[in-house]
Amino acid sequence: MIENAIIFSKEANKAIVTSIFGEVNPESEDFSDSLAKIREIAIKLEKGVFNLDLSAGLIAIIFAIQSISVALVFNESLEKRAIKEWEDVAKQIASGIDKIYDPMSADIESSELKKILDEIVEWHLKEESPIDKMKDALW
Amino acid sequence: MDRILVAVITEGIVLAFVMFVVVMLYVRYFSRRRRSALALAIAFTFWDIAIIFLFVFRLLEYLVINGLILNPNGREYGDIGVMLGYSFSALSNIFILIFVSIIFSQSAMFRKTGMMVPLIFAALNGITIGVLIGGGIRLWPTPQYSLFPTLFHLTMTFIAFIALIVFTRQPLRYATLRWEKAGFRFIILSGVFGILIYLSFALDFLFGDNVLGIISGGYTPFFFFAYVFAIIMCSLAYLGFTMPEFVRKRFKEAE
Repeated sequence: MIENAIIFSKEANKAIVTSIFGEVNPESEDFSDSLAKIREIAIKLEKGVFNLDLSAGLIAIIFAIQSISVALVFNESLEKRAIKEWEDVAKQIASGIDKIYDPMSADIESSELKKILDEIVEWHLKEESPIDKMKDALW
Repeated sequence: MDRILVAVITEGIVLAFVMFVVVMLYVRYFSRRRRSALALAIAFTFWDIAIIFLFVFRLLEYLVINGLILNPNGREYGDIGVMLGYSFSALSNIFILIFVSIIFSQSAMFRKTGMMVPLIFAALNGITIGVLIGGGIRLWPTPQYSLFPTLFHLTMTFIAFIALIVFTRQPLRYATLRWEKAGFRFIILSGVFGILIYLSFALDFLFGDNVLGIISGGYTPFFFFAYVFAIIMCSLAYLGFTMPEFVRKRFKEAE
């Protein structure tokens, strides 16, 4: 189950938006060490997917997509299939954020970025995957 | 053998295949009660009705030509069958896209547009039905389908099957089990053969007496290719959409 999501801009060298979907707040004191570890990789990772084990049984999956890195924190390890599905979600988030985010501009409201992030993740959580739907309805 | 009789027999065989797929899809729907299974079963039901019309009117055409029944009004039974067949096939297209929109609702396109895409697609297929039925009424009892509805319907069918193929490729990448991958591959292949059916019908229309007249005497080889593709499409659809136990077991054993 997803706990939270953190979006990093490699150009701005920082987290630009966070959101909570479970119980772990990425901005809390308890999570600060984990956030530092995630940030280090998210900023350095040029391309691809990185699995990072955190404390308290949490894992972060970091997807580096061009100038954006999407870190998704889960409370359990994911199957290969689920990682691929979340990779598509990360690509959608990166694409949506890339359209409006400008590291040189201070005008971007973080609420706009959060809206994109929440909408995409919540839609993914609400709608079952095609494989599950096929199994449920036909297979 | 008389080409019309071969056409009647071919359509009868295809009808049996489609009927089988329809029954199997309804069996799935009544055991699971899911909207997606119903949408797919309806899509194949409309396709089944299309084939029933084609078969029945082709049979009437055969009986008239061979003097076995009278046709005092000079009705063009073959063309009436095609007109009704294409109309129900257009309805089938709509439900294929509804099925796609339900199963692949996680995708960005359906997140952004909701049911707008199937609704617009339904309206476009409504044009096919309107043109065909309108033309049929205007020219009754000798309706003739022209190049425009044929190509327009071909385009709509391409869109429906291409949507099915394109969206199915994504979960094919995610699938980890062999039988799941096989299921998606069967669905993709059924879409490919679905396209080939209508492409063959369009080529039959184009090369036959109606347009270019390169192959005269009606019923070009493309007409029969279309039905061969239809049988392959139905077989693949049965395997892909219902994933019968013996197929699943075979792939599981190979795992």
